[in-house]
Amino acid sequence: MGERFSAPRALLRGIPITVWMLCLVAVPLGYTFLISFFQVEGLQIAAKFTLKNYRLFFTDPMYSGILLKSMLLALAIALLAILAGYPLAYMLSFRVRRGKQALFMLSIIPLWVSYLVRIIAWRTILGNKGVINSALTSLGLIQEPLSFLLYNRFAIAVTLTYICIPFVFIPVYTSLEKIPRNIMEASSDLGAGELRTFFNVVLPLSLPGLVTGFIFAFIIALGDYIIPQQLGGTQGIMFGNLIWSQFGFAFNWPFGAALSFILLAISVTILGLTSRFGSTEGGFLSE
Amino acid sequence: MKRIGKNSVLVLALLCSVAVAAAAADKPVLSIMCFEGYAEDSWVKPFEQKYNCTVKIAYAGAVDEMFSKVKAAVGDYNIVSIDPGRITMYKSAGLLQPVDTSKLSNYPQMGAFFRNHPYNKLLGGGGIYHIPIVWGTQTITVNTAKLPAAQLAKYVDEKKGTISLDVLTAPEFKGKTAFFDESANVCAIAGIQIGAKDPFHFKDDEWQKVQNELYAWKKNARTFTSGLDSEFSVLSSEDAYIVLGGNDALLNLKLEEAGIRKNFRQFAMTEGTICWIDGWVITKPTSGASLDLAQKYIDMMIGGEVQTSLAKLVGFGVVNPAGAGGFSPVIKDKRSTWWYQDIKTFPAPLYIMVPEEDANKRVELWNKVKAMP
Repeated sequence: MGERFSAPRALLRGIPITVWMLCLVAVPLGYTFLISFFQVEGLQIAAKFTLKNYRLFFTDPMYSGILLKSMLLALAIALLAILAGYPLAYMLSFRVRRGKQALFMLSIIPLWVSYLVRIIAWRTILGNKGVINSALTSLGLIQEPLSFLLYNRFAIAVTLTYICIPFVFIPVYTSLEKIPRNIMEASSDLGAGELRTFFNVVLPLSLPGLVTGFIFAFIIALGDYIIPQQLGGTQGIMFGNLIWSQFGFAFNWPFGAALSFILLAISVTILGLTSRFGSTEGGFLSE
Repeated sequence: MKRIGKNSVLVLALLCSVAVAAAAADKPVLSIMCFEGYAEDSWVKPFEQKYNCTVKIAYAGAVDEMFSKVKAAVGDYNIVSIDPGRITMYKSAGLLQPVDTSKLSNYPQMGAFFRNHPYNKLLGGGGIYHIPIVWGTQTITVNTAKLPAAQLAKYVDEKKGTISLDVLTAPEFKGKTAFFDESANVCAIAGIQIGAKDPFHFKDDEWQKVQNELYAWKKNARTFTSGLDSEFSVLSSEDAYIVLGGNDALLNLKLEEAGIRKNFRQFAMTEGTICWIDGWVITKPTSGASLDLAQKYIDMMIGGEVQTSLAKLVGFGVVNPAGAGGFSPVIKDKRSTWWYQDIKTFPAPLYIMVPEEDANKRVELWNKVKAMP
């Protein structure tokens, strides 16, 4: 099949997306990167080149410590989201015959609900007078409310996992749906059991979706600052909160920009390292 | 003929709309940047009618957002509602001009505390830049239904109606306290607790003491709060019984609305607390008719009528005693923030918020406390 468009026309067709990318991605990011090398003088951003914002991050162990803690928590959340999202996608793709579309929509319904409402809902579930404590108290199983449910890292992990599940579910389900069913039948015909077929056929072929879901969940969890602030209690400081505090109360946008770029660099590195797993169909990284 | 008639009507309508637009364009304009609640229709509309002008209102949700907007559009806003803690920021950016108080007929009726207090002079001198309209404090709300008087007696001064900040580190209340997640104010109150003379300008040896104090608060606390809804949620869901917060008047109104206010009592802190004063500043390029309107609007806001409306609407302290009649019984109640009726009756030392020595350093200190295990 020949070229559908001539070179100049193809060039013209590329202009809108290029302008869009430049205006909404490249310019804001470029400007933020630029001010990360500036400094603050009396609550004003002074365009004087300095490396002190980056130096502060690398010399004060508080920042690297919080980053490490945030990365570990984000990793745990991404794995939990996979553990919850993958079986759901698998069941829907291979086990459900009727009402697949309806169940798919039900699985992603949380995405339709406001982010803040979902946070408040979890506070209502986990709080001292929440659903869990009320149920356990009325059953006579506890005398005092279980305080470990809320305002700690457990609450952050539970809520962020819940938030991330649809982001894992969608790419995994898409990649599972793309697996030709005759391959599985062939596997069965050749004597492989269900478990062996899963590990040797389904899992490798769904890997791109899995990786995509993992990246989504990890990056969402790593950058979030609202859930740690709302539900994390006195243990709620994450790297996102550090960035937010620099743009807010400290009026130190250059340092906030530097911290943002460190986080961006980590995210891009992870994306780069994992992108090779996404080179087949099913993931957003597919060719 | 019919067609001509239709066209004539269209032309006439067009001319009318142009005339109306031209008339509106002739009207002087007052442009306001403020927080919600300081430009209500109930007084803005009559103001527009009285002075045959247009009032343009823009809102901001946070101090830094407000500053960015004003700085980005110099000349677009004539008056801005800010607290004294942010004045130097605006002044150093060349955005302010002094207010000529002789043009404010209601100024002499303002409480003497606000007229005579030297906070305006602390803001860099050169005249009065800030005309207060309402004030508020950081106080402690206690769930007295869960914590009986006997348990609190050690910390409460019933004569004054205050509670000691020691309650935040009391071992018997471990896991039952909460306080706000905001570096500047939380450092200031911890400064008051360690005995700093000026909680907005720490001496070198006071920084470490403040950090230790905040860490002790944190170790005893169940959670941090982040605004009115968060304070209400923590208290009403009984996740914490003792909450240090900055929205006391509005919190009272919310607790009353939920029908649970009888379970709570508010206290000023025995050691003292910080006091924010929201007020108006006039921006530098404002002149002519807009300056005249700016002065008139500010004058109206400190007058008895609008002060009464503000007392009714937000419940925080008014600066003109003539407005005290607007307070609801909820605010006047002795278990509530009764002191907002008159600042002179406040039962503990009040430290008026002024620009802190180093906002960045306070953020860093607070982040360090939060990062500690």
